[in-house]
Amino acid sequence: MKHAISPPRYYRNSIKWIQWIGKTGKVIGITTQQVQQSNSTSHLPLQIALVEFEQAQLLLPIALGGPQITIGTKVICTLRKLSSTTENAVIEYGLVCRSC
Amino acid sequence: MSTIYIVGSAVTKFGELWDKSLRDLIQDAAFSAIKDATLEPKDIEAIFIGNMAANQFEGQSHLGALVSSFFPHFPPSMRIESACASGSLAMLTAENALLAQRYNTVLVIGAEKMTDVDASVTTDILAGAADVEKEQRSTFPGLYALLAQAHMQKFKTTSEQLANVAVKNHHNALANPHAQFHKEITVQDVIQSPMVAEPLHLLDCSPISDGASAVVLSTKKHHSNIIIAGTGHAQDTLALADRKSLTEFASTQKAATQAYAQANISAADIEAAEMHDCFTIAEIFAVEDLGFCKKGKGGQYIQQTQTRQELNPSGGLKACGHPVGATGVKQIAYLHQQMKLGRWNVTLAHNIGGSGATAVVHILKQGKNL
Amino acid sequence: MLFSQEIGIVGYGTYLPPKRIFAEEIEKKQGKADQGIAKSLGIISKTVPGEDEDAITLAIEAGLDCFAHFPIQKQDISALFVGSESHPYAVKPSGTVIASALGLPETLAMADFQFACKAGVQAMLAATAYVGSGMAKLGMGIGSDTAQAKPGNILEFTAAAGAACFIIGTTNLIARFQGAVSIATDTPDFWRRPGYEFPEHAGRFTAEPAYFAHVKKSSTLLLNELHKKPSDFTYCVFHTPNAKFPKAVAKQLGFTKEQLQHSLVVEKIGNTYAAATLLALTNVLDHAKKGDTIFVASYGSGAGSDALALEVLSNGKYT
Repeated sequence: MKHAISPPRYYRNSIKWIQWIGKTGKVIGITTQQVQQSNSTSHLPLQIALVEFEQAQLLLPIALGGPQITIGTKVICTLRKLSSTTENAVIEYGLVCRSC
Repeated sequence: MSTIYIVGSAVTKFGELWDKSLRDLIQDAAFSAIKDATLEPKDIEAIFIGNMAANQFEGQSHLGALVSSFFPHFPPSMRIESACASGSLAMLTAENALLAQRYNTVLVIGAEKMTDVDASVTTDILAGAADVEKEQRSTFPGLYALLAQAHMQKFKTTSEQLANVAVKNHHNALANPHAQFHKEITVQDVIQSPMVAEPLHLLDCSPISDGASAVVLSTKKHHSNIIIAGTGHAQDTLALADRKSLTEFASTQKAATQAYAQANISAADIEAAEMHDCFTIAEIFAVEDLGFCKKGKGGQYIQQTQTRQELNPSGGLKACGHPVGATGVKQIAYLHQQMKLGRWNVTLAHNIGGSGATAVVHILKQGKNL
Repeated sequence: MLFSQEIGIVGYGTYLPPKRIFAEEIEKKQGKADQGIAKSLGIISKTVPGEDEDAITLAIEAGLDCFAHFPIQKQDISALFVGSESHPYAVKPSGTVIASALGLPETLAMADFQFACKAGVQAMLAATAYVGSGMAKLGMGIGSDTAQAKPGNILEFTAAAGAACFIIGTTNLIARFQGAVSIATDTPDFWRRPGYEFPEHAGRFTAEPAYFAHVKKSSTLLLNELHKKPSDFTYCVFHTPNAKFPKAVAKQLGFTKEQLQHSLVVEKIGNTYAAATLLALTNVLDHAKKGDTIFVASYGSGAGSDALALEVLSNGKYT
């Protein structure tokens, strides 16, 4: 099992979130990963999407449980838990996208 | 500039090798290659070992020192890492040392031991070959699935064409005693295998393997007439999201151009190519980016009954196996062995790191084509 | 307490996780189909958070919703209070993650609250106090929860997830606060000790001496201070542990079904705990017209209640 994120690394990530959260973009590539990294928040397949934002493209996980997303869907960048651990560790939040 | 001869080579069996440790594999390959070269261990002046993740798979860093300690004279030794291109970059590093006239005869090893840990741990480790900040939750099947999708969308490449790559390579591997798999498969088998990351099925993906390979390079002939005629090494963005195109590897194109120029040949002269088919789509990219066929026509090209060059005759990564650090060296070792048997005179080895961030191309020539 | 200055709501936002589970499914899984539990609670369905969601991510979404619909100057927000009974950390505030994600300034008074289901309203009132005292130009109060219930327990029918966020200010108000009264007593009707995953409740003790006593007391005190009767208000909102309790307390206080109508979102989304009263209020605001008045009373186990009266100053999105 992967170790939890280190606090300094979490901190460096979190100060960059605001550059993207709330921004909208278009999905240009999408796939469903049946096999995840070991610290995935869910046993369910995770979708990742290549999203074209105004400033740049980002490869983002898709938030679980929302309406279906396909190529061309308009999405918004937001925040979710990215990994899960039983350790008494800092929770790893990170950028994802969902339909909007 | 000195000519670099491949004077000896060896490949271990690739597969789930429960009774072989990383050290066993390294020593098997190393000393077999030296024997193949009809040299002694003490003739090796330096060692270059390509390995991606021994420090994560088993906590063993400082591989250069470990390998050196297997030799009575402790030759200078270093580990080179570039994810799945570690092996070919170890080759390049060795070649540069020879061309700098620092050494005359050196040993290159590629090795990886992957099956001691759970598959989920392997997935985590291999994810390190991606951009861990920009591709945080992505797995390698996921990244190559996006590439496959883009190619299928733009060029109408089909799942059957992807599957055909795996079918061909499994068939080729039947003649390779070192290959991990000796099993014919059909296009239906591939398409009906479980989806890993759509559109890539399980049988579109190369396996997790243990294995090692080694090559002895020298500026002296040592009865060999197989040389490294050309090399190329190029990079591209680590993160897919930063790429200019998702339907080609610019790194392969640039590396191939460098290698063809140095070897004074064109793509049409290649008789056999060992290419980096970590996923079936990667071989389709390769035949296009190496210039064997037009961009977008790779799937069709590979489907032909007879192509101008033999494609992944060893079985490729898909059927021969893909111990990550070993692959780049194994490609060259395999070509060397087959060329010694007189099978070809001009061959190519193509090794990729990550999702196309690193590409290395080697051209081998033999005999009167030197 | 009556508000002497112009102070009130400048903007609000909500978020509900997309997944739902229907009460019949829960009845079946509990082996209690045909016992009419869902019907007696008045619950049709409830929200279920995704495995990648928690009270922090829900709160961020509510904040994004608020900023998308109201012209808020984020740099003027200098107080943020977050109420939840499912804060992801026992020690480390939810609010700092929320502030970072929403791009709030570093010059921020911030604390997490817990007071069971009234923590969200209390957070909003604390933000109001900061603004009213001049310590902040804008204050943000959030109620957010991913409530859990022990498998097989009646709370499974209602424990849901959601978030609501309110921005409080003194200008460009969409609703003005008229008065507020809060009460708190040591009444142990519902609790969770550290290290335990699910709360416990005291059965029938959670009704009369707890919910009903506190809601009626805070409401009566506020009505008296305002010199108003229930019929003076257009709408009312009472905390929704289920759909039954708010209907009953409304009747006991003298409010009508019509006044309650837009506040019973609990029927479809379940009890979102610290977000519940706030979410119900947002639905009323969405349907309210300029000049309407709204009477709100929260309830938090353990126990306490905040009564709040507002006058609506601009039409909601459904009018």
